[in-house]
Amino acid sequence: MSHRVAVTGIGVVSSAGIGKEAYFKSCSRGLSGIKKCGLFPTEKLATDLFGEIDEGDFPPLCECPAGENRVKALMRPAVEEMMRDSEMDRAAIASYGPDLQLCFGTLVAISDGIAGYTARGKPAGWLEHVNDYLPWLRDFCGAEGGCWVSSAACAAGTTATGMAFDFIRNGLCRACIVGGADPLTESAAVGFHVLNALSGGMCNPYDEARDGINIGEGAAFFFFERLEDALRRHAYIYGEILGYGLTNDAYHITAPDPEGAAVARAMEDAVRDAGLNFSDVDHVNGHGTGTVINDQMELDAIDSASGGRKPSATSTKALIGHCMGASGALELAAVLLAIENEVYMPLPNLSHPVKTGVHIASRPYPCKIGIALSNSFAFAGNIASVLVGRYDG
Amino acid sequence: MKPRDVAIKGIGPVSAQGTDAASVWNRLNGEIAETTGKLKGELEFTVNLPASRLRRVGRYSRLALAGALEAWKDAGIELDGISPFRRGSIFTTGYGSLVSNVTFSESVAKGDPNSCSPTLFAGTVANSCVGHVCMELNLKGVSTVLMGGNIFVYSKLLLDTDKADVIFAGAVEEYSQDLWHSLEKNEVASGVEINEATVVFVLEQVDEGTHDAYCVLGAGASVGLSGFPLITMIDPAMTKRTIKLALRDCVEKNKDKGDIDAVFSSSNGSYFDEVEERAIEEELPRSLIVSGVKGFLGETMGCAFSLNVAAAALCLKNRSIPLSLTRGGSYDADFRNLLVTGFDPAGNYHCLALRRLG
Repeated sequence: MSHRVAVTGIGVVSSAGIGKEAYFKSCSRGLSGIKKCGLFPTEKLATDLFGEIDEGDFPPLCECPAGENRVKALMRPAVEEMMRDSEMDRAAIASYGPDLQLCFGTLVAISDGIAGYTARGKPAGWLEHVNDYLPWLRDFCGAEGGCWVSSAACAAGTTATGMAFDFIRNGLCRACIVGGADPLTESAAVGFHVLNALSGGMCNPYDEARDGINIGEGAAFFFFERLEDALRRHAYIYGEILGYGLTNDAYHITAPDPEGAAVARAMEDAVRDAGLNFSDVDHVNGHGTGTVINDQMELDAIDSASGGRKPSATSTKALIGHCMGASGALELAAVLLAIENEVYMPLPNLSHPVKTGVHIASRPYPCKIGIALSNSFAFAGNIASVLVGRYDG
Repeated sequence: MKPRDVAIKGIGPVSAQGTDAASVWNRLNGEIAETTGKLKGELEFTVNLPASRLRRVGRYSRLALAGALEAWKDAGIELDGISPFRRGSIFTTGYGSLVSNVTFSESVAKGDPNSCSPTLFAGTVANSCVGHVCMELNLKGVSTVLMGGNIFVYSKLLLDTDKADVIFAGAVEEYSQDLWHSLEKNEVASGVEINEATVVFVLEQVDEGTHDAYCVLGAGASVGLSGFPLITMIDPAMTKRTIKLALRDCVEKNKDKGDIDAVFSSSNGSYFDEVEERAIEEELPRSLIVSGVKGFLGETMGCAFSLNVAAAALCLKNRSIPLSLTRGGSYDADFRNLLVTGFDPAGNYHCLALRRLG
């Protein structure tokens, strides 16, 4: 038996705002959270601009993985907000037993622990604990079911969303806590620097003058449940997850296939999964990193897959940076909030849009979004696309 | 139309007891005298590809490649007849590419970003293993890497819902001198023999009556423990309750397939063995407990559950549970249904039912 999957709670922590309302308020006005970095030295990097969260009480990097650290500190307020928002406390979540699973996406959650290990002279009793944030997360929210951690690099958050949707739809469980989190780390900054992928200024997705990414950090969490359960308990419904597609470029370990065939296929699979056509898609929250190859490839893939009716497209990367494995979760929040508020998040730095049939806007664009795709692409060729729908009762 | 079963068609291990399924079975069965699973460090293995293709492939990804190529050979399937977009790759790991991560982190700490290696950075992502496997075998379908989770349950779901025709499902845990040294000093883990390993499975849907596979995948169940039992002493009473919950859930999901004949437990010589054994005895009192897999292959952390599945699949195919695994005499009765358990570094406890073909 197939179940419809409703999203009934959202929690967000980002450089553009702590909490879903602050996040949406800043982003929908085009106010970027990208700023000069204070977490690590940037003098020798291509940029000092990062989507760092400097509002609130977040520990510095390289703290012990078994104790309090930055990734846990990012997750805590996002999970708390999601629980409040969905009217689910620990006891309510625990009452599901194995019928509630955790689906989580991350890329660098353990990197911070590894950096701390090397910075402190490789102490014993440290390294084996780099995964300890997961039992902590489970305990913090009261989940008793399994924890599925997608580590498909920058596609991790969107992949976790798709998995959770599939589990509930096909009756493997009744509900999922879904999310993604990644801290801003020096290792990631240096890594993208040596790959020549960092922007020299503010990243500028879908612009002819785009020159690379700004790295960010953040967390977003959601409560997914069967639609019938949500209706029964009179939960507020942000929208429905309708389908998803996962593919792999099988092309290069860090560069996307410029032909974009696997990207187009993932989007088409997501739409087909929902029994819809691409012409039904109103909006695409793109991966839109601001790199030369990615953005052209992605727009071409959207253009070719969409046929006659072109959707609008945007990217949150200029607003919060590229939040690595958390980006898919933060972008899902952007899509759901755009559907709710009937305005999608703009591209604040856009001045010369790439020539494409897809509508790209630099300013907040009021529109009623019925069906939207959210895309994430990653190192090692992993691609994920999730289809989200407005719930009209 | 009758729903088709998902079967294990091929197994590609890189383990302390061999780098192909037949060798591992022969050792399990005592036909090759080699009783200890203890390794000194890195396994020796070869990847059957030209050196030029492996030039920028780290050891973590080479382990995955070796397993995937062997599993493909073992399955004997032609990939050419299957669209690349219908060939999936679902992998798991406990600690990912830890060696690359530590090395890259050390280079970052030196304070000269321009001297850091982009190739090394690319190898730090946990999914780099799947990237290389996908490039080599042209797998463009469903794909991800988990650092916690049950690859069999997810792969079966993807195959059952027609999202793929074939899935390479694998697990990789690479030796890291730093991690192994730290584990030696961990009070809970210090007595446990810890090894690196890889195992990759070729999973496909099969028609009823097929004999060309190891076994059929049943349903699984996953629950959360309050920590990774290899490194953390977790409350025995609560843990037993949690394990029983998972066992009950798994048995319930497979109840139409008959009784569970034997349970391949996650026993590794630690305090956890007794907790799990009591839970199994209370929940499945008539089932044989097979507790010797890790004594034979070592505790392989993020790969351990998958290796346990491989051992059970070999037993189902060969219709025998050898002495080396039972520690109490070989078991050649007419068993059909096995349940495999395991835990992972994300603090999950998994169960999976396997069924004999035919």
